[in-house]
Amino acid sequence: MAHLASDRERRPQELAAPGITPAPHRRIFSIVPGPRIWVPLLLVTLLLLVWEWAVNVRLLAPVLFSPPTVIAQTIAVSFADGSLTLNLGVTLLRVFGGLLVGGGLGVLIGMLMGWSRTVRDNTDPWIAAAHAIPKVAILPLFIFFLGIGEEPKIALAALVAFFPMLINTMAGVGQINPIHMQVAQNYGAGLPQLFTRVIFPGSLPLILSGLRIAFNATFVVVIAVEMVSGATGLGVILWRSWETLQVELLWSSLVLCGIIGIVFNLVLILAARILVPWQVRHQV
Amino acid sequence: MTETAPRELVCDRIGKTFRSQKRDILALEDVSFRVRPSEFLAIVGPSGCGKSTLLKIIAGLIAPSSGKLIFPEPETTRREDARPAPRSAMVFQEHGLFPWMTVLDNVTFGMEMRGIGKPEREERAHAFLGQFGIDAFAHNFPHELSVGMRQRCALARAFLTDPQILLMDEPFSALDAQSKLVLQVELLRIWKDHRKTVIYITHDIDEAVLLADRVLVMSGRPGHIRQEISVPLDRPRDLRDREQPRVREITWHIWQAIESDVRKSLQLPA
Repeated sequence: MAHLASDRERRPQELAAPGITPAPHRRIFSIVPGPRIWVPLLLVTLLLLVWEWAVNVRLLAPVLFSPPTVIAQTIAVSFADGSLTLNLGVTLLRVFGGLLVGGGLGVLIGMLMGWSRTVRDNTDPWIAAAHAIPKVAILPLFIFFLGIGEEPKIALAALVAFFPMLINTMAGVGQINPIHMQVAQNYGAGLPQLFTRVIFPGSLPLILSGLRIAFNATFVVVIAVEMVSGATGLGVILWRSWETLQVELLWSSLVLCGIIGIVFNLVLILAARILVPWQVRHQV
Repeated sequence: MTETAPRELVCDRIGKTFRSQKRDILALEDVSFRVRPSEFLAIVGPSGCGKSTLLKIIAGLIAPSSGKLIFPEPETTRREDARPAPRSAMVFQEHGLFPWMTVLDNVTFGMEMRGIGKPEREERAHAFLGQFGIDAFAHNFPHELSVGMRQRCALARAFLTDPQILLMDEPFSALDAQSKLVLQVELLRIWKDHRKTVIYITHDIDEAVLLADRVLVMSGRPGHIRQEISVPLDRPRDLRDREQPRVREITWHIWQAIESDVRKSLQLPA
């Protein structure tokens, strides 16, 4: 979550005094920065080479470990014949459906709770209780209510996304400087304007970092749900490849999960640059 | 200046008690004064004398426990404005600008709240931004500006909102001494063109005397007005006016009124 800004990131704010350059000068699409990427890239390459070598000389058992070249090949083939694309798409649809519904509600209720002490005092115990229930344990109940289609899966994903979004949004509202609320009030803002112009944008940095937590939690639960009750999805592929002892497919699916994580993280960083350019240290 | 009441802002025996579970704190007691239209009124006093509380009461951010506040009749508003200008617009010490809005969005916020359309807001804003020397930075975010520039934006926002009364809560106290002097002169220059009614809070006596037509000296525990001192100095004024013997005398006079309070707050003998 929030980490302290390094000196590098903090500098522009303090140096702003003499040579301030007028906007627009913000670079948004500098996601692939120069020198910083080389060390991690080198480490990953090294790891892959050692892994490949270890499997080839039987240091790692090929029955349990597929070499990276085989994993890459499996992913490429599965993408080419469409089997992976479809399942990946279904999984992501469930994850994002859940994020949209549950996360959206979490943001709305979180803003209300952050804004009003009364709302917070009266809802906090309920939230604490509901949050403590393991979400996967509710799946049977949802299936009971909603049938065995997409509904219980997305409902569960939404429930999982709801809590981190709510808690982060509430914290986001809490860290808005009270002066900004006073300015809005003094300059004639009504309640709707207070929410759209102050409370929402003010809590946006923490909403975005909540999104990262919510995405990971939702992803985990969707995969788990697919393993037990799915006909499609990445979770089904993972489970079937274990059942049929297709170790290369198992590794491929895991690697794919990791790639999804990286891509979503990059998307969030980009979103933060576009949506909260005023936040010098991106909290995502 | 006519004495007809509706033209003036009247603070009539304002009192404020902060209630907490442990004890009640009397922050203000029987604060009464009037502010004439187009008057620049400064309020000085030691820290904790309740001057910020008083300003927040006038701004409508907190309610007084007793007494009343009478605002002058609003002047005729422009027909095209959906809602009338707010009664007051406040300039805060620091951090008053919304960090998530550009300079332009910040300074037009008051007009936006009144339902004035975007093209007109921006047209009105550009003239002001030029006057405050921040036109080139209209699309920057506050964190990209220096403290002095941010405070100029905050001033521009207050003037642009065109309220009946401008409230300033030590707007330059976060600045270094030199920038502060420059901005005081800038404020004098801009105020001369608009002649808005201003209530300016500060603990800097020189600043109060340089800017204001009249200075109220406040004293703490509970906050009340101790003295009222006119500054009969011609305008336009500049920094050299501070060297005039009359001004030195007024400054010394105010200091004498405040010194014992400051000593008391530092636990020093009077």
